[in-house]
Amino acid sequence: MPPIRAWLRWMNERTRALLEYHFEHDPQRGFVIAASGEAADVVIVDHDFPGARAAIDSGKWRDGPPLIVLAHGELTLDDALVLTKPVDRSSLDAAAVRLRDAAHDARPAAGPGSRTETPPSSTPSAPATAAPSAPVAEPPLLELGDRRSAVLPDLTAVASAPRDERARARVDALCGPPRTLDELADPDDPVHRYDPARHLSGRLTDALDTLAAGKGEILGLTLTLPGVELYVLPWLDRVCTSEPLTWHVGVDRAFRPLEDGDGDVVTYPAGTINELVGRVNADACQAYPTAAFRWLAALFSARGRLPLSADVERAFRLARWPNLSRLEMTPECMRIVADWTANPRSVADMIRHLGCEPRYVTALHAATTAAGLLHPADPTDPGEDDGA
Amino acid sequence: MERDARRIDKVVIAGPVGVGKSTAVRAASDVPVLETEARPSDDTRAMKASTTVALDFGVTRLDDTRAVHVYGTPGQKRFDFMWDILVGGSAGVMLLVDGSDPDASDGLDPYLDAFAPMLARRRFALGVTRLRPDAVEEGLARCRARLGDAGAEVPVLETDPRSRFDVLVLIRALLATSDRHATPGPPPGTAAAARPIPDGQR
Repeated sequence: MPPIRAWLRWMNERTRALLEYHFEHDPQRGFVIAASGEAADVVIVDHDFPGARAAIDSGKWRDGPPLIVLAHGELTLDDALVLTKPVDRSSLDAAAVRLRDAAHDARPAAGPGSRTETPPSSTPSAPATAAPSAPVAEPPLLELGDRRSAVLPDLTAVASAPRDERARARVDALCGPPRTLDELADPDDPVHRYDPARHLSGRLTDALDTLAAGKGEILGLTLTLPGVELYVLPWLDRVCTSEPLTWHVGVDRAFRPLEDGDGDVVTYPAGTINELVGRVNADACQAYPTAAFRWLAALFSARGRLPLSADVERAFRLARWPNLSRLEMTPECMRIVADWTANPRSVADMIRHLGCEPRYVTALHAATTAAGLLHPADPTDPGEDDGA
Repeated sequence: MERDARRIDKVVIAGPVGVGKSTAVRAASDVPVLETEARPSDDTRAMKASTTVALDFGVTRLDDTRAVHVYGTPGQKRFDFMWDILVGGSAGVMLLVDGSDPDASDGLDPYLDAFAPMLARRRFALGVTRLRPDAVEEGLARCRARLGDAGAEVPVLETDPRSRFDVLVLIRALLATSDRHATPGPPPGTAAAARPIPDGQR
């Protein structure tokens, strides 16, 4: 009898390794791990993971393969098999028997002599109490490459320059040219101010808001810019680009000021998501974690400028440290973040307090604002320095 | 290599057994690491062939003027007297925690208790290892919540202890937090002010 093909989702490496060990060492071959892109007969999840609980609560698994839920202690679910953690061989054997029995019961009655053993992989198997359903093909996995190497566009145009020169070019790319505090103070200055709505950072924020507003109904979207298409894939937490963001090629295209007609958004609900996956597989060449791309888009859109009408004397405070090990870092970002998480400060005050170049503060202002971490300070918040 | 450094800081890496403390010291150090490894005599045997029993020691240079002495602690609770010894005079503590286990943050209590004074003074950073790529924010938020009020003000960063870049980012973040009041910035426009982490350390 062919083994039951399983997807392993929402579990840590230890649990995954334990299941793989049992699968590989089971002489009866009750389960195997389904290959990527193949249909599966069952999905195994760990109830301790919030994502698993949310999926169970939403009920979306009822339309897919049967569910096995690993849980500590007592747990009762109407339409899933529950196995107590840590999983052992006997409980997996029992689960395999129940799944096969359910699949057998669900098959149409066959005439005498015509009965054949149908493998679970070709016959929809069912949880103990749920109606049988067709195996669902998992969206093909995407080759996303190394996450970190994709964070910063490759500055190929200056790759042969001396190291210090390259470092300066990189800073200029991320933070723009040097600016003085006086230049930044005018809220309507066309040179030192910018309109986020006319740049990728604003359009991307709108697109991600659209996804959030979809409450799970929208599974992905595309954002079309002049010469570059972005594929937003929330289930992978990735943004893919159709062009490499090499300097003077993709970066100039993706981050230049946009016209009114630029930035078309197409959303993909559940029924059409495989169309998006197909396009990504065919066209995408770079993949970024969503947070990293949003951060990068803010830096390249602002280039050290402040948003139009922003007040340089308005105090802000950072809600927490950004995950800087996976984000593009700018000069002095550590000191600025350390201070902004402890004290409410305006952009002007931060520049004066740290004595650093204004563009370093304004660049981080743009990135942390896009990340949703920088908020106007509570007027009653004394901060650590004054409140201690 | 540290002779020319004008400032030398001491940083302690702590955390549960097997989380990657010795690996992090080796990744960060510019010199051969001093290690005190021995064959485990307890449950640790099931996890690895050797374990740190006193300390790991390495040295890394952050820039032209600043070097850091990095000390790794033993993970077992019975060696907690070493935690006290090592943390004396340090700029701060970097605690590593396994982010792949939803229950792991519950096991942090002995370490948070032991280093509570450092956490209260914000001389503390948390490195979360082994996060699944699709659950990074979830894992960081869970660990951040364990730090209470301090969770917003101390660095909580995804960290691969095998990555020199990741370990140095955590060290830099810890130092930025711990000496926030002390260091005036370099004059605007100087090379030091414009230098991000060098490419070679990424």
